[in-house]
Amino acid sequence: MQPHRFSVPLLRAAVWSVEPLLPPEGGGLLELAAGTPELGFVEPLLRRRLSPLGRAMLHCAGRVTEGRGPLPSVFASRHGEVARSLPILEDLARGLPSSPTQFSMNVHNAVAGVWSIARQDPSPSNSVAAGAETFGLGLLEAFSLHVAVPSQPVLFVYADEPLPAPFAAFTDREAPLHAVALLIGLPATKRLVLEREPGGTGDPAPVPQSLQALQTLHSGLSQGPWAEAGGTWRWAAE
Amino acid sequence: MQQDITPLDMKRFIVKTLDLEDTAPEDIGDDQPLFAGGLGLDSIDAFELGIALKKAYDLHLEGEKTSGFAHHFRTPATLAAFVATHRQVSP
Repeated sequence: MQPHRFSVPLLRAAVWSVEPLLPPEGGGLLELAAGTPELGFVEPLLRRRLSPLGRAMLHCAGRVTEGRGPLPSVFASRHGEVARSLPILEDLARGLPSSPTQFSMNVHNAVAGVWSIARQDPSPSNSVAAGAETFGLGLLEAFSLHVAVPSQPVLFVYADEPLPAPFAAFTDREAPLHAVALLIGLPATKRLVLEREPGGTGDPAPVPQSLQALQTLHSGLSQGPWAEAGGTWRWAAE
Repeated sequence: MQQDITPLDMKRFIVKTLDLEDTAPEDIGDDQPLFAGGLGLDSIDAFELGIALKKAYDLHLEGEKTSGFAHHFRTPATLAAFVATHRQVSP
């Protein structure tokens, strides 16, 4: 089967990570950040509900959409707010009432909800989880929204963090807490090109898909084909 | 019956429980409304605060009329008085 090729036009890109994931030199398009996330656009009563994962996501989303009005978005995370789900499960197991705040914020689209409230943006938003292919398939979801209305920039946001203790046995290519936001739109400053071949064969990737794409955007070097359950992925930058 | 919980204790508990990161306990008035028009807390906060207080102070609420909760949760002072009269353990 021929690989599917998608050339995703990028206007801006931002990364926040708890520790450096990419060499400081190079980069170009990628705006790298660490330390306290910048969340001045979220009022304090709303901001306090955000987890470290949500803060990292909205920092990046805020950077790439600076000065822009409403726009559709796709939020993606493989494990989402699992650090919030865990105490809820522990309380349930002990027969204790669980925290309403944790309950309301542990759903997969909680961060997208805070984003839409903070920006007062009623645009469509999707929240995606798709196993090890979450970054790639979330990016394709966002790209498809852009293709449908090419004049409309689309925000793609991704984040993940290491699994907490009882789930850590399921860890597969762990990376420190990191978030990425890509503003998809024209005219492209750079293009992230991905090729996906259903049923294709390749080596297992050493790092999660988010880092594959970031390394490629940062260095300009293509990589893959990397094998995932649904086929292979290759990444290139143009 | 114990009366050893001050409004300031309650304010510290509220700030900590509800992650009011930009508010110091001392900035909240003893008689300042916690909800509508006051500190700006919402219904999830009310629920969160109730569960956290019940866990921390082992509140004895059997026989308590739920219609009275809106009054008890109105300000740090009313909440301190309510917890002081319904607690079963020291924090």
